Amino acid sequence: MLLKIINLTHYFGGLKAVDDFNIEIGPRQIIGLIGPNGAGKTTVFNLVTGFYKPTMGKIFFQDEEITGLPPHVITSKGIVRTFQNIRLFNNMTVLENVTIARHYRMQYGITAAVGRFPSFQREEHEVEEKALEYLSIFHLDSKVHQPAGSLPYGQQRRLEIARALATEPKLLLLDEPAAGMNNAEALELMHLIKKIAEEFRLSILLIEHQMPVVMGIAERIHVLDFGKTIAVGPPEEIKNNPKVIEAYLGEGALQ
Amino acid sequence: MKPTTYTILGLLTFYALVMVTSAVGIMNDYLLRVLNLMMINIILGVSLNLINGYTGLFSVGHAGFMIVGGYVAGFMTTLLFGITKDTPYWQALPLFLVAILAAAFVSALVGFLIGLPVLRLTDDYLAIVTIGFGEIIRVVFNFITFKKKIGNWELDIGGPRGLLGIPPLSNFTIIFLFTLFTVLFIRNFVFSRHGRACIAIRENEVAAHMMGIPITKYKVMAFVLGSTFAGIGGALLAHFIQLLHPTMGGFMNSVEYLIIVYLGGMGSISGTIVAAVALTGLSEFLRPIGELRMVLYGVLLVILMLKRPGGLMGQREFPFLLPERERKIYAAQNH
Repeated sequence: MLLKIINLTHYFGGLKAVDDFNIEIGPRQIIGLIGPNGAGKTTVFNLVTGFYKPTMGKIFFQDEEITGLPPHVITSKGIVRTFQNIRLFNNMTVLENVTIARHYRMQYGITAAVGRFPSFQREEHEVEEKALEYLSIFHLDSKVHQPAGSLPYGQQRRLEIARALATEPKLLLLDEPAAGMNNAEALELMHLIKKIAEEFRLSILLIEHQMPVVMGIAERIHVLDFGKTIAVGPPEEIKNNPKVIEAYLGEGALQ
Repeated sequence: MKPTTYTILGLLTFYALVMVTSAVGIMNDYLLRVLNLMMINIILGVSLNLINGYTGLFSVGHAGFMIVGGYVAGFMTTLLFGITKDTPYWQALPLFLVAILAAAFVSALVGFLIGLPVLRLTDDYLAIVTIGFGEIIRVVFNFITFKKKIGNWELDIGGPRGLLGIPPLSNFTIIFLFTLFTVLFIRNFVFSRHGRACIAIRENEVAAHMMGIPITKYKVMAFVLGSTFAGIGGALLAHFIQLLHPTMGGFMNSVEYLIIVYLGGMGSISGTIVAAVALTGLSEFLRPIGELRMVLYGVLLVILMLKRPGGLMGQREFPFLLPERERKIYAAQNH
């Protein structure tokens, strides 16, 4: 099992944001996490990636407990995420954004950097090659030396995913990657996500609001409402689950 | 010829020009002093830029670290080694270098002790703590005199009188070499994976953390490195103006270095150099009006924030200051 979460519970003061959340993700699975606004989806991401320490519960990654570890350690173990509101390093170039992701895999120290030792030259050369590979997958290779903040919205989204992939994760958490895109763009992005999951042999946990999108690629969907898991199952089942429809559209919507 | 060769030739020409003109008397002592002061301010400005400009921290106590370095080095050369202005230079120089090293080390240590607890916190407490630090340092050097006789030495760093009689060991060559070293060190640091990590923290702390960067480590690293060079700058300054006074570590002095950084551009070594030269020159020029020049600085900053909020240079560098790879990219984009 790649990721296993047991009885995860998190309070913000008196508010129970995540209530007894359980999930198991195997290798090369794409799992959807949906729910209305404020259901606790992003909180789950923040707990898994170490930005919050859970009030209760345990998180295991590849049979190793990672509960409460700081984010950079969790990244080095192979979990990485993107953000709902894009978080790029806007004043750095597109290339630098991706090389940052390789930082923890690089070795040379401060002395080598200041003295421009051979190890510095070699590693910097390698990281550039590697970063360019990732950028070309996402068709960003013509923009390498532009500031990331100057890219159009869709390309910024793609850059964020490219940057996350450059850490070579085993599990990728995508927080509403299609937010702000129209249907055609969103579907194109989903094809891309499916493709990278296969190509990089990744598991993906996906938060998404656009239903057709999640339904299309997720093999299993977890539905959260007010922190509670109200349904788990394959997309067709979730689509017709009255509890889910009620959570999204309100009581009486079934009539 | 490679572009780097031009930069080296330029620096050599500059050095030779100053040496020759000052030897034959075209450049008088006053001008040479201003030039030296400019270079010391470059050291302090560039090191502060690493903390505030590149890493996005907000240290307001740079003069505090400077004065720590100054006192450590001044204490060592004057009281510990007993160097006076009559000591032959070749005898004093190695001891002076030891004193500078010690100053760098102590400033680094103080920076580490202050930085580690404060920078673990996510919010911006560094400003408050560094203001406090500057004031504490000022008060400490004001009240503690260490007036003790140990053997033949009377240890007395002067208290409110200040530490006087520091031998004039900082000459143009020494200051020039240390300025070069500082600029080169910080430039090479900034254009490496370590510098990128610092800039990423400035750009987006959460994303940097998620990309696997240990943010506390890099914040502390930038802060300690900046403090170290402030200490070196302080040691050079002490042996240049030949006295140290507790007030030099105070808040207003730190503000002068902040102005250099913000005027030049946050995250631009070139900008800091330009601003350090310009402001040092300007303050010499405005010496007749005394403290009123601070008012002028204020006006200058307001105009700057309105017209060029990113500072004179923004985050750009002069091409000749860039490492080779970055210079090629620059050339490819601007041909």
